[in-house]
Formats: sequence, structure tokens, C-alpha cells
Amino acid sequence: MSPDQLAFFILSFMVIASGLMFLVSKNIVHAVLYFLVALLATAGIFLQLKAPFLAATQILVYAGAITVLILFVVMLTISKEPEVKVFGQTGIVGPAIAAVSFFAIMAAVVSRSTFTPLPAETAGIDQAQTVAQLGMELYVEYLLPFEIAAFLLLIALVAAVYIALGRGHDAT
Amino acid sequence: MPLESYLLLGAAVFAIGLFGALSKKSAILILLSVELMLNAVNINLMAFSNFITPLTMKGQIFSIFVIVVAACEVGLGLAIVLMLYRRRQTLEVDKYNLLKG
Amino acid sequence: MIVEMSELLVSVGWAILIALILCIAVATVAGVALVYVERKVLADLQIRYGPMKVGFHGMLQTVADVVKLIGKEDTVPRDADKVLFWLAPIMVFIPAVLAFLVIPINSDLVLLDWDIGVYWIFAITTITPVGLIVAGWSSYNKYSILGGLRSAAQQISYEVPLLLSVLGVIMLSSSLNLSDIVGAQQATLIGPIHSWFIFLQPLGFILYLIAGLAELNRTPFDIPEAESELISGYSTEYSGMKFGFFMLSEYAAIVVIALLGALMFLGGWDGPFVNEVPLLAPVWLLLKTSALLYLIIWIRGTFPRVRIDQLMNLGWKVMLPLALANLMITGLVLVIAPRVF
Repeated sequence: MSPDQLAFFILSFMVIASGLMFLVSKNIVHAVLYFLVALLATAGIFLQLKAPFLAATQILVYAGAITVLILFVVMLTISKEPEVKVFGQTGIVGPAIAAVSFFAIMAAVVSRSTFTPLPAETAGIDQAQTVAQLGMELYVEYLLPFEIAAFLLLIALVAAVYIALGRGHDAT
Repeated sequence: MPLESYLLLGAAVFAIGLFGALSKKSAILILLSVELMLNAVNINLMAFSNFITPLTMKGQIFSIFVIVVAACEVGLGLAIVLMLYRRRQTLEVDKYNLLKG
Repeated sequence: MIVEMSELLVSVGWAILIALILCIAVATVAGVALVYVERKVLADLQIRYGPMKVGFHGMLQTVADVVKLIGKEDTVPRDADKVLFWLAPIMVFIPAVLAFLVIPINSDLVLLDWDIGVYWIFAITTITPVGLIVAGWSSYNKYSILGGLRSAAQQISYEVPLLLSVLGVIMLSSSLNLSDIVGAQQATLIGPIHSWFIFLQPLGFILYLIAGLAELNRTPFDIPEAESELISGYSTEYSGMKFGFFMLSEYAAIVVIALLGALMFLGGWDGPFVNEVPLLAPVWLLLKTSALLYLIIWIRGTFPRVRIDQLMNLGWKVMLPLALANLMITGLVLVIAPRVF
């Protein structure tokens, strides 16, 4: 077993364990923190997949910004009576069947297929790609999706402020 | 580490997120489960990028865009959750039944 | 398989453990030293002596304070969430420690020569607000919750101008790696003066300093810590070593910001005679960091506190447009006259 495999086992155990704890936790703040652990472990998996920029972006956006946002909303909407029931009216059976059957189908598909790397791209398979290369590809080949993503962020920002402020406020 | 392990991990996290999104009572936790599903998709994308096209950055760029869109969605979703809380004073999705016949 | 795994863990874990212990040691020593330095500098600004009794001119004062904090009773509120109450100081301490992983003290000495050096530091420091909210909420005290939310809001608001202000530096050096950024500042500007980025990006430096102060919850932006507001903010219910942890992580973060400022704007370990005598490189870095630390403490001793709404106004309405303008001007100059830099 190599350090790679060991790291993968530890990280995937952390992701799945914190995901399961997130599902059954009775306290909403505890659930958010288990979610944070799952995000950090996912960042570790990205690090192991030789994508440090994506790992740092995951920590910056998800663990940093989104978790703080969710905690703010939790603080603003916290109710006085303690959460006793974790699951809603739908029950557990239906969603459990859906989740387990999804996983079973995916496992069957994955075990029956063979994945071969594209022939032209197997050289230097162990080199970590640099951020400079990522920047070049992002700004040269994928410039249009980049600009559209920026526009999408602007729309989301304006819309979120407008929705959260409520209809009673004037635009000025 | 073979590719299949990463894909199975992605499938497992997606299944966990799916279960949470379908069965949770609080709107915030449903949003968080959707985020878990998006994370699972990112794991899959990066695993494929690492094993099938290790020299290009297509998978990584795709994942970055997924993170961007997820951030937008969470922002807007939380704004909507806040509005819902203001109207109905509760976050339980079972109580949002005004359209019920 | 368990035996195999644990053997592997032991062999690989040593390197990780040593790196982490080194980071924790540096962060702790830096924090402890800075507490003493700050008290002496503030005393000097206020025309008094400061700690003088413990050790030579009070140098052991912080050690005495740490011993006192360890000896204090560790109270936990009755209805507090015990696990989160214990976890919050650790959540605030870890980002300040992990930031030291990518800081170089020489052209070859760095713990983790990553491609994403600066980005890693900023990514890791965004976890601090989560720790603050958890600290406030787990104390089961309305002042703590409000203080924690205010602290977190201040920190996440000022992350944006902080990141944008260093983006000009990153554009000029074409790399996120801190060693490359310091290397890019060794080109000559005029005569013997090297092109430190403080000359090329003065607005960026000023914005970095102000945003860094707000990120650290330092005066003039220290509303969460002011005793007259919200008692002590998120750390109201904390006593003993847990409170010491909060203080330590704040001071370690101040050292990180000063170190980053020295590396990115003041030329890092660049200085006269650094090529002939390689041992001078850490000395220059230390001198520049100390200069920035003195500036930060000086600002604390001089300026009054800013109100929370003035703080938010400043961050979003003044610093963000200025940082964007800085970015645009840097980009324009780089496109029009690339050979100059």
C-alpha cells in the first residue's frame, strides 16, 4: 500500500463518515459543521488528484464563504424549540431506496466498464499541472464560459440582495 | 489508486446527498445536501480529469465552473429561505403547503 | 492490512508531523513575542514604561501571563454546547498555523514549495470566521452570538478588498508562489533600488494594510474586541487557556499578515549584500516584518475605533472600487508597456 492509497482511504472515510453524521445529526449547527468536515476532506481529495488550485478554491469558496453564509442564515432563523425530528413527512424509506439504488447502479456501471486514457495524453502522467497552465487554458480556450460565469455571479448578487431586502424597500 | 475507487466515492457521496435532499425537514439542510451532491460531481470530474486527460485542464476548469454556479445557487437559495422564513415563520418544508388541494 | 496501514502511517506521518510541529512552534513563539513587543511599543507611544518587572525589562511578562492563563479555572457555561465550545479555539488557531507552511525565509528554504502559495494562505484564513461564529454560538450568550456574527461579517467583508489588493502584485510577478514573487522583486528599478512592489503598487500596499487590519480585528477595526461594546465579543465566556488560544491565534495571524506584506511588497529577503552573505536573507525578512509590525502597533496606538456601519461602508464602498481601479490600471499598464516590468 502506498502513501497515495493510505491518504485516499483516510480522506474518503472522512468524507463518507461526516456525510452520514450530517444526515443523522439532530442539531442543525452540528450538521453544518459535519458538512464543513466533508468539504475539507473533499479538498484533500482534490489535493491528492494533483489539483492544488481546485483544492484551495474549494476551501476558499465552500468551506470559507458558503459555510459562513449558511451559519448566518441558521443563526437568523433558529427556532426556540429543539429539533427533535430530523426527517420530514416523506419518511426515510423512499429516499433510502432511491439513494441505495442509485449507488448500486453506479457501482455496477463502474465495475463493468474499462477506462483507458486518451492515447495522446499519457506522457508525463505524474506531473502536477501548474497554475499558469490553468490560467492560460481558462482565459484563452474557455473565455466565453468565464465571462458568462462572471455575469451569472453578478445576477446572483443583485438578485440575492433584492430578494433578501424584501419587496417593501424602494430601489433607491 | 485506480479510477474506479474515486468514482465509487463520488457515487457514495452523491447517494448521501440524494438521501438528505429527499428526506430532510429543514430547508437549509436540503440546500446543504444539494451542495454535497455538487461536491460528489466535482470529485467525479476531477478523477476523470486526472486519469483520462492528465495533461489538459478541462476537468479542473469544469470543476471551477461547477463551484462558481454552486456558490451562486447557495446565495440565491439562502435569500429565498430567508424570505420563506419571514412569511411562514418556519423552515420546515412540510409546512409550505398553501398550494395543497 | 491494519498493520500495513499503521506502519505506513508512521513512516509518512513523521514528515507531516514535523512540518506541523514546526508551524505550531513558529506561530506560538511569534505570537508570544508579539504580545510583549506590542505592550512595550504601546507603552512607548503613551509615554510610559510598560512591563518592567518580570525578567530583564519585562521580557518574561508574556510567559508569566501564559502561566497565569493555564492556572485559571476553565469555566464552561451550563447550557453551552460543550463539544463546539472546546472546538472553536482550535478552529481559529489552525488557519494561523497552517499559513506558515508556505512562507519562505530564503530563496530555497520553505516548508511546502507550492504553486499556489499566496492563494493557500488566503483560502486557509477564510476558515477563521467559521470558528468565530461557532465560538459565539456555543457560548449560549446573546452578546457572544452577536459579537461572533459581527466579527465574522467584518472578516468576510474585508476578504474581498484584501484579495483584490494583492492581485496587482500577482499580476506583476505572474506567479502565486511566494518565492517567485520575492524573486520578481529583485529586478533593478532605478540604479541600486530594486523594484519592490511597494514602489510599483503603492495603492495596493495601502489597501492591503487597511484590509489586513480589518481582517485581523485590529484597531481601528476592533469593534468585536472592544470592551465597551459587546463585552468581549465571541470570547466573552472563554477563560483560561481557551481564551489564551484566541489571543495567540490573533497575534499569530498579525505576524502572518506582516510577513506576507514584507514578502509581497517590501522585497522579502532582498536587501544589500544578500547575495554575498546568504545568512542575511532571513535577517532582512525579519527586519522588514518588524517594521510592518511596528507600523501595525503604531496604528493601534494612534487611531480611534471605527463604528461598525462606517467599517462596512469603508469596505464595500471605498476599498472595493479602489482595489478594482488598481487592478484595471495594473492590467492596462502591463498590456501597454510590458517591457518596463
